[in-house]
Amino acid sequence: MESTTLDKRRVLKKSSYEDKRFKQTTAFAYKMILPSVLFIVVFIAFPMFYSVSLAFQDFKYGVPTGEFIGLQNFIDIFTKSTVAPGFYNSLQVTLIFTLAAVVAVILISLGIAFLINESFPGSGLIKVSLLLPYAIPGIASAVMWNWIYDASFGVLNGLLFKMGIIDSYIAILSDKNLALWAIWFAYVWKMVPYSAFLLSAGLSTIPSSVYEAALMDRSSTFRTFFKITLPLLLPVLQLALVVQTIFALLLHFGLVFVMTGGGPGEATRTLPWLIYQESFTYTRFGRGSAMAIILSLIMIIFIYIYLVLLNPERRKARDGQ
Amino acid sequence: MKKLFLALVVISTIVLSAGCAPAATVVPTSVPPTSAPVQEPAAPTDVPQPAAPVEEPPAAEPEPVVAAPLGPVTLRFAGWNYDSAKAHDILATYERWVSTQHDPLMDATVEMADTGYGEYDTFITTNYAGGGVYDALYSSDHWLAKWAEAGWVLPLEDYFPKAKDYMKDVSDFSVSALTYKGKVYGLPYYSDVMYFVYNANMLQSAGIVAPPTTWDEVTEQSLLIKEKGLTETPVLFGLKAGSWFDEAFFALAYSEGTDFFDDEMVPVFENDTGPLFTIIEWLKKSLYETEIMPLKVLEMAAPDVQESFKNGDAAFVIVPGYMMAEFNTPGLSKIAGSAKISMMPGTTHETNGFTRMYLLGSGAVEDDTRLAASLALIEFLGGETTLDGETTYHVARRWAVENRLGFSAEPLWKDAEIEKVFSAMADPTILAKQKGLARSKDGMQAPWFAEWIGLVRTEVQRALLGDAETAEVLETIKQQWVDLSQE
Repeated sequence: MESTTLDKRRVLKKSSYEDKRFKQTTAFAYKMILPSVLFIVVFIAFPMFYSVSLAFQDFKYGVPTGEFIGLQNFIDIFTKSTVAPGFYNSLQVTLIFTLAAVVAVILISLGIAFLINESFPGSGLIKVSLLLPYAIPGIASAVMWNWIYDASFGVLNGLLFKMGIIDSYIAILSDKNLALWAIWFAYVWKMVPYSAFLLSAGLSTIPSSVYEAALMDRSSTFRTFFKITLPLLLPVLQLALVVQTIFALLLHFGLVFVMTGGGPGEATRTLPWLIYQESFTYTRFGRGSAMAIILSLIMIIFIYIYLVLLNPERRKARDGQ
Repeated sequence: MKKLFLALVVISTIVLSAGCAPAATVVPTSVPPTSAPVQEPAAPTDVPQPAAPVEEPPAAEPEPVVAAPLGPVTLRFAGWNYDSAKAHDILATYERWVSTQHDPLMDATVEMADTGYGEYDTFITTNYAGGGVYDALYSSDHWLAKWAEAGWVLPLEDYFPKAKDYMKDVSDFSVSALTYKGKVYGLPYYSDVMYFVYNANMLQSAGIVAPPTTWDEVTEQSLLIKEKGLTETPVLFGLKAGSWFDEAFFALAYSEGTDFFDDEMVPVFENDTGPLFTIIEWLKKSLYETEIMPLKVLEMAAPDVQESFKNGDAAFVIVPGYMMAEFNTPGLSKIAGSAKISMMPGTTHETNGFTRMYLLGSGAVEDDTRLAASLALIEFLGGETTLDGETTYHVARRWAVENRLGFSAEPLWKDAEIEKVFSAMADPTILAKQKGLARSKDGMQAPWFAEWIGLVRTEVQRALLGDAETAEVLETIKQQWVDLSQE
């Protein structure tokens, strides 16, 4: 009896001590993450909620009228004659650009990831030089590509002319069929390194023993890739897809701003450009914020598709594993 | 603990949201003072007190009492970065002038924030939307209505009645540019006209004896120049979507006598006929049929056209007058001495005149001293002042003589130095004649003009790219104006 009481006391004393210890540790942990949380609140959460609140307000020439207008901004975007046609065009241009950019970046990155995973003389130098496009600031690379594409003295025109591929210089950024692809190329050039290194890191986590086993089973390269590499790389690939989709939807803005200003005509007028125009040129902050929310929803849809379609658990269930 | 922490996060977000909610710009409603407040002179402290009735030497005349300067105040000034070094030098001169020669004296310094012209509208919008203010700022004529309606700039004449008197000396197209809803909002910084400039040597080499007077003649002469192999791109206009597009577009439209709106601001241009339709069709033909103009004009602004013309790439361009200075400067231009101005081809030979100006920012009325210093700054920059004993439009004169920038103040044309400088630049007769046929941009008085012209740029480019028929585009921009005016 006495030992039970003593045991109980010991247990209570021990649990009381552990509880106090736990609270101290937890408090310390919260203190450590407090700066990060404050940063998120100030620079991410607050702007996000503020922007959402703007979308439901009326603005007249840049000044809020204080009037809550519900979904009117959203209705205007889809129906108003001065807004809707431009919005639908921007949506189309944005989706085409995003799909083309993501596919190109992922495919090229995968190829480069395999390359940089190999060890050969000079591989270190190649790895460093591959990072350069990503390291150049966005606006600087936009100005650089603007010069490359220049219709009078651009390097690209000069090269194609000297090679006899064209017989006169082409106004690439003035051509409605070429302008968007010119921006796409500049964007892919810049974003490939990021995904290449991400996928390379993913590839390096695949144990070599599985490849050795595949080799012993005389598995072809094609089969090895689709049956071994790709499934094991799936989580990293999923991450790369999500990140690249977000980037493609947003980060081309600098290129459009510098190179084409949304033109020629509406050829490169993407949704981020339209949001900028609505907010800062037309001072319709409410409508601009509403468009930003629509863009965010598009992003969420893409991410959901990736997470559902590429969910490893779901794939296993589908494959009957 | 966890719940407490989450509560802290939520409360922080709500507090930040409430604290940083958009505040409507406060438009001052108090009656503005009509003159700057004057400090009473300090009372003399030494009072002579003769003790005995002895003959005293005559008392020295009391020294004049100098009022203590108003201030100190630091003015918040915004502009674009054209010749930033000179702009800052001018502001330093203002600071010297206002502290030593102005009445009343003021201890005022100016902090200037600047950015590129292309981003200036966004720069000002971002600042004001974020709660910032300026005391004085540059503006272009096509932003005035929008900013005035937002309350970011104030009617200058309400605080400085002399501003109305200045309008008597200013060119007509500048008067309409500086005025909104019948009130004068600013004084001119720089005004200019879009001129038709040709490469005289190139024309001579092609055997052309006189510049074209109609757009058909421009086509004929351009084809001849191409035939002679002198250039593949005889005609270059800056049609890249942006502010410079507006200047070129209105110049082309006015050359055929286009009227965009009537006195009630109702669109009056025709869709499938008329001068505006004609000029857009001419542009399309020049791009695709006669190929006298390259497609790259859609990515060229006026400065790009300037560079190409200086390089000898084109025979005919439309550019603002100040660019003539560089065209004919050896060392800066390959065609120095060959650039000439002629009257704008077309039916009426009219062109577009534009004005950049100094405006009174809403921040200026925070206190009387700030207001007085801001008004002094605007008058120093855009008006006629006495500096070091000389009375003239000092700043406008300096820009004109040193940078060949155009000006609105007509009396400056009598200045010998200016006459000499501008005569060297171009034929003064044609300069004056073309300026006499310059009109400011139709519709600028509407606050939705900035939004409408943004839509026009896109639509006109669609017509030029063949994405839409000209008639459809003109109908669209007409309807857009009507829709915007009804909001």
